Amino acid sequence: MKAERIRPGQVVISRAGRDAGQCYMVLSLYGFRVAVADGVRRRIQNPKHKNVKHLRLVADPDPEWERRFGSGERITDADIRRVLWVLVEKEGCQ
Amino acid sequence: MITRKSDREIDYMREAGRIVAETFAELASLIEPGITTRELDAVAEKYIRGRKARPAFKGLYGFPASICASINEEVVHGIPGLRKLKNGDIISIDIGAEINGFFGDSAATFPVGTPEDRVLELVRVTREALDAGIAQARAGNRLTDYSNAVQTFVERWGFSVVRDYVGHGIGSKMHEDPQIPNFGFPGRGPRLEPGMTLALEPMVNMGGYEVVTLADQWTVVTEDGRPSAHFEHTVLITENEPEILTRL
Repeated sequence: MKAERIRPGQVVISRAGRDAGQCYMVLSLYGFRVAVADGVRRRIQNPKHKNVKHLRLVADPDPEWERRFGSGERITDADIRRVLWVLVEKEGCQ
Repeated sequence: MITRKSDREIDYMREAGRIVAETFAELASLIEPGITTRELDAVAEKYIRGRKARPAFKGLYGFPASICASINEEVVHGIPGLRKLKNGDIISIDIGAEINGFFGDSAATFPVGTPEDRVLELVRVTREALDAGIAQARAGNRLTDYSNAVQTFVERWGFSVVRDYVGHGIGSKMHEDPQIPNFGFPGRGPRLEPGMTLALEPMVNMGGYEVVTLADQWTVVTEDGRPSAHFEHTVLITENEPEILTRL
């Protein structure tokens, strides 16, 4: 039995907290928590930390992004903004 | 924000780390075929509470036990239960303790009976990779100097480093900044300074680095079902050699 998998490079939507409805990109998982950023209010240098249970996947995993995170390539806030911007209308991200 | 701890805070963390290390010593002698992970959890909780500390994982974000017990293909966050250890298994145990408001966090993988040679090699390489990484965790170095040392060591032996899960800062909270990948290019990230305390924890897979979470929402397993090992220490950055707080 496999659950949906939240992993770096994926886009998630917050479903609990003051930021409910906000979309983020997952940067890393550590312990039981997830570091996420939206490139605007929460940047890579100052990510938001969420309980994994308070997040839901909003888009299919993009192999290109999984590769970039897996190879340790540098990711910028502008990259994240570009990804999230496309999803604003399609997935109802705030 | 990465916090630097005062001398008094470091003393509290030394105490928490010592309790974690002693708990491992208690468990090490019990790990043999036939024992359940729930029994190990009970022993660990009793020992930690007996030292007037608190098992840090219990209730943390809803985790139901005092230790994480991950067998074979389970990478991290295995929930102790009625599964009995078998000869040839490996078990990764992750323990956290809090005392006086400060935390210690450590993990180790133990062979049960006599696993295959390649599995024993995985365990040894993971342990040595952490040592190689810790050697880079010194004041003046960049964070990813540690990351690169671990990845380079592990891949030389034909194993892979888990990408999704990373280490973390630790102190008055179990999980603090920064996130500490166990892979990547050297010379990046914040510069390490004396007084920082980091939980360094490479997770190494025998096969590919991909992992998935089981439907219990906690247990992380390797996607290809091959074994995984995990070692962790809480480390204090000093002016000289890094100090391992969770080693006796």
